[in-house]
Amino acid sequence: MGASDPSDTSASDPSDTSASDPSDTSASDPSDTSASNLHDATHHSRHDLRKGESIPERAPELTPEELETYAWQFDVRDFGEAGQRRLKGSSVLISRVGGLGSVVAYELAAAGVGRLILAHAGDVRPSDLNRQLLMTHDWIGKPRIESAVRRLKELNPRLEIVAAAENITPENADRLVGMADCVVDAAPMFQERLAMNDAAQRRGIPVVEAAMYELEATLTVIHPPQTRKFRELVSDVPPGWKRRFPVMGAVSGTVGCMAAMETIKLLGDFGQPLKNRLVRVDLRTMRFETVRLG
Amino acid sequence: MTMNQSAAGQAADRCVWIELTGPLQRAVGEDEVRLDWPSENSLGELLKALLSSHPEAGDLLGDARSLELPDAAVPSGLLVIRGAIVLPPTLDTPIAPGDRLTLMPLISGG
Repeated sequence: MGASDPSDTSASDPSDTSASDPSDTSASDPSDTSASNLHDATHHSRHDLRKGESIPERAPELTPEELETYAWQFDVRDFGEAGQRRLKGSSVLISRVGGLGSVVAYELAAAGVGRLILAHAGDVRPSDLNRQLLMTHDWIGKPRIESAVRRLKELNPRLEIVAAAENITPENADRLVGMADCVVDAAPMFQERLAMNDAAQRRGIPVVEAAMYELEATLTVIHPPQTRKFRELVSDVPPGWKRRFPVMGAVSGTVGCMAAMETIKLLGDFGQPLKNRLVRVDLRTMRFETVRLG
Repeated sequence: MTMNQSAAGQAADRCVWIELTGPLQRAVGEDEVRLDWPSENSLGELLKALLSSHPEAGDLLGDARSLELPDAAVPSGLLVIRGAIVLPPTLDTPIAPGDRLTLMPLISGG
């Protein structure tokens, strides 16, 4: 989901490989001149998300500041300090950080996820601002990814960010997905979603699939072999899908929060993630329904 | 039960109701359509009947001829839901009179 201006087809073209490599520090936090916000994938190694695992050894200890910041979350049943350490030791790829993905990123940053890998091409446009809450009016004409990094760092300066000013393509999907423990798919183009899911499936990484259209939204978790493969639902780009879609920011935000919660459940190893289930939401009637995916 | 109610009930037993969502609802312009369905038939036949009565759905469902190809399947990204369960994407799934279905094209946006 996307994030980007519906009229902005340039940023959505999966064949557009002109965007920068994550190793290109120019895409990073503009306030960080040391480029130290770019982290090697080995810094946060992936931990096992299977249920029942004890805290991985590499789940880092919490600092006194973090203990104070997240104290109220420790009271969440089945989460506690152990869940918080899992979040701190986790990396999440979010593609893209527009209307939906921006809210996912903001909630994960607030919750204390250790590292976010953000992928989003293009510059901020006025038409982004009805929903893309990491973009601001003063950043119009400047890279979206820089605005996203700036806003997330304001909220959580401890957060590590890998900022990639590019959208997901078959060419970069393995590299970006390979840095993550979990992927949040908030991309508007099915080409991106297919590439991301293919890469995640090769690595056994779960994908939180979130989407919205007008006042409707859907959410599920794809994690084969525990779930159906994304390609069993979408074998190819569906007929008739149009880049421009009706979008209301509050709908993006609603499903963005829900997608963030699914991610936190997966990383924190608690609750019941939406595996083989899909939630469909119609905010016009406030109808929420969960269906079984076969 | 009055005569009219009885007739309506019998008519209902010979129909299927199809809820449309997202871009399919937008293309057809209706939240729900009702098709005459006097006896059990396949999902493929149901999609063809929908395309016949609502050709504007063709942008998202393809044309009826494509549903008759030997390797034809439910169009990519289209979920067919019955009783809160997504049906297998095979066109030979039986659909009975009185069934209530949802056709939900997967969406991708934010």
